Amino acid sequence: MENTLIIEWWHWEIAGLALVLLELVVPTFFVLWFGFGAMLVGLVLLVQADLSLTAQISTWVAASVAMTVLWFRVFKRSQHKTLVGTAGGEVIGEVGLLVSAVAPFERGRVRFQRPVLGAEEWVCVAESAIAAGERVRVVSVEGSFVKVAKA
Amino acid sequence: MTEGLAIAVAVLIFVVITIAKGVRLVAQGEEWVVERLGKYHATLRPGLNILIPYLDNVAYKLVTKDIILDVQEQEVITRDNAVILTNAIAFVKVTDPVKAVYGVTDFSEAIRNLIMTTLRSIVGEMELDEALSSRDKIKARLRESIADEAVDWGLTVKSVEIQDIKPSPSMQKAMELQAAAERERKAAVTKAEGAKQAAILEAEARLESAKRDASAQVMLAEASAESIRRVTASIGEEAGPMMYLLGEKYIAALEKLGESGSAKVVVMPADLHETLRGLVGKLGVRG
Repeated sequence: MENTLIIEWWHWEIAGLALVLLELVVPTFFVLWFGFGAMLVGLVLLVQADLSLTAQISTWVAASVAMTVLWFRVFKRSQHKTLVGTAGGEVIGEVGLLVSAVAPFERGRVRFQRPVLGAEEWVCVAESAIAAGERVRVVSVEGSFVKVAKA
Repeated sequence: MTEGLAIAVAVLIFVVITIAKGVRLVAQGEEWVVERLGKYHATLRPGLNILIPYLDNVAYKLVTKDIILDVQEQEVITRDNAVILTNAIAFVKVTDPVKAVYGVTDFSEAIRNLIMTTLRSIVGEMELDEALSSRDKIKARLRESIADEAVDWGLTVKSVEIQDIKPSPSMQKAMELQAAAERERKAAVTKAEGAKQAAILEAEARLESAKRDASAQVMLAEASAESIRRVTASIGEEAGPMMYLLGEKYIAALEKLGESGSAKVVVMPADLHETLRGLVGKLGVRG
């Protein structure tokens, strides 16, 4: 039955390594688990040589899926180490001083210690009235306005 | 057994595709907008992200780094009808990826066109010389004017710089001619002023020399008067010394006359004494 296609254990090992290396070229983060799966099948085949090809592929699929799922169980949304280059991320939370009062239908001005997005002073809007001289925190960036809240 | 193999291979392919569609790596500096069944669902942040395969679809991939927008060169007409060529460069940042993709069809193109038209209207309100010299003012006003539109598009214009602002070739030629004419006018005025100054100085010199000449003559006259007075005083009432002086001069004059090449015949009075006496008598000697 498998006389036409004889697969040795080391075939799996090489294929597995190739898949792991492929991860370097195409960073997709799932080929890696298929590579490890293939290497595992190779080890199984070393122990139990008379496994059918179907069983081998099934083991491979099962092992890969199991590892992928396991990885995502362990994987937690890691803390972002830097917010550089993210939309608004660098600015949100920045604390500034309100130089002219802001109210829901009145724009104020907020001054930052260092230039934020290319300007030190920004026109700001807020949900509630805040008096001038208060410290405020940037909640979001709306074009050329920033939305602030009391810090 | 071959059936089982076929199913195993099919399952393998299915699993690979499913996982491939579910696992997404977003690079730092990018944010992806995901739609679930055609509607906005989420924005993927940099890092590893998991989607529901077949339901979720990455619709847009956005760069959230600062975008450099080159605003092409354009002709602008100033308030005093001068044509100038200007181009700008803008640094824009996507601060709201959702608004940037759903608020406008192509935000780069939109903001570029907006900068072009705003630049035209700002420079159009200025005189040529003002426009050429107040880049910072243009920059500040440009940023202000764009602010309102940028809100709807989730963009922040960090800075707009005017790269070049120069008059059109024909305008440049005219300006050069004007400058040259101005220089020539100045040169002519300077030359005329020099000539005037020179004439005045010359006249002053003449006046001065005439004054000196006059005073010299007066002095000479005074001196001769003085000498005559002194001679008169020293001679007193006697006629002898006067006669002697006169005689001496008379003989000296005769000598000169004799020396002259042309005069061959010299008529000499026989009685020198009487001649001198006659001379003195004619002069009216004070007695």
